[in-house]
Amino acid sequence: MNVTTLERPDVAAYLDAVRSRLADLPAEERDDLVADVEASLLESGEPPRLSPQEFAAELREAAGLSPEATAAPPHAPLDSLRSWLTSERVASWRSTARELAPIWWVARAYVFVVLLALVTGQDWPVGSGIASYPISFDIVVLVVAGAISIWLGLRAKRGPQPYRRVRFAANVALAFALLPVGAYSLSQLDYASLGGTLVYVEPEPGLAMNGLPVRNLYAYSREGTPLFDVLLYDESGRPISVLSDDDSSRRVLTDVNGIEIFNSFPIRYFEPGTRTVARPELAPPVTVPNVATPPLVLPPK
Amino acid sequence: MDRSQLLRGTLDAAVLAVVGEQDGYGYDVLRRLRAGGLQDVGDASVYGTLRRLYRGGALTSYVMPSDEGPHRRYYGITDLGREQLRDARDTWADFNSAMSALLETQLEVTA
Repeated sequence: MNVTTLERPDVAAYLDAVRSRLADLPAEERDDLVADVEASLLESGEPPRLSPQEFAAELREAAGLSPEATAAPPHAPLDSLRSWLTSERVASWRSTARELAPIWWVARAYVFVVLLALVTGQDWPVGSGIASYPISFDIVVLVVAGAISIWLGLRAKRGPQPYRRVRFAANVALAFALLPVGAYSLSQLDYASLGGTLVYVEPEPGLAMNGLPVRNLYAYSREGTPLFDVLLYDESGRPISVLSDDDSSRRVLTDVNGIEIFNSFPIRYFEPGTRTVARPELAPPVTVPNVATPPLVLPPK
Repeated sequence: MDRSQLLRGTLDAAVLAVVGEQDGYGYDVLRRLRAGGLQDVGDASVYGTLRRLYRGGALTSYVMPSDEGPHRRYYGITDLGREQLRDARDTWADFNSAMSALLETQLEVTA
């Protein structure tokens, strides 16, 4: 069983308090001292017999380090800041931050991956164009980066690691990049994925082309002769009909049984009060191309 | 007699002797010191002493992974440390014989 301070918040809080009492020491010296203490506290499993202050004082004395400065109340702003940083309250904040560290490990992996994608000239998300992957390429990259980041975080938790300063600098740089990367990622999300509602618009009945209604159809032969009363059907054999603004004056064909035929084109309208179409040839100005392709020939029956 | 005052002056030698016998990490050194009769030695004193001796070049240090918790920092003795341990043994032997002689004399006087 590998016990860490993640599982022993009491030990983490105690160590933070000790660390705050060693705040004036060089970071490396302080971390090494505290790392020894951490390993021992976790292994012994016993509550410390000294308060963090007493422990730090004994540690300092034995290590041949100068006692903690207990000079007059601080005056300079820098002294105030240092005093605040070493206060018990900040120590408890640090303890909380330590418990929340896994969230940062995941966040920094995301920031790193997005930065890497942008630096190498990719869009983010990068996987949208890779359709052959069963799951998004982005998710795979993020999961791998997250796993590595968590592994590194746990390693650092367990004890002293090399390149401490490099790792600290990288964490600071990723923390600074968190805000712009977050803003960029949000800007890349579309409205629907942000929780917006997609509205389904019922299509209007009748014919439409590119979203605009088609109110009439004009058919020509390949020679350019306008055709009348052409009956149109779609690929399923359904009659094609269009909306008409004024059905009362529309010239509607009927079959021998008197059933109206609405899929005949072009639609023509009677003159008001009559059953006569004044100008059957009327059509929008079109230029019928001079067709060069040989006409289809029906096979002999 | 105040044992803590005695310990204060002799802890370096005790730590060097324990580590000289076998490399050890902080809690391990503490445990061996206590098992050796120094039950009242403080943990902070031992860890601080280890760090000071390491800084002074009497000890070397290396990190080993542990199955039971955080990585452990082991300490081992250096040639300089062995030299210091030899000096400490000589000094202690002289001091011990002098003190023993004095205390024996006092015993005879009071007897």
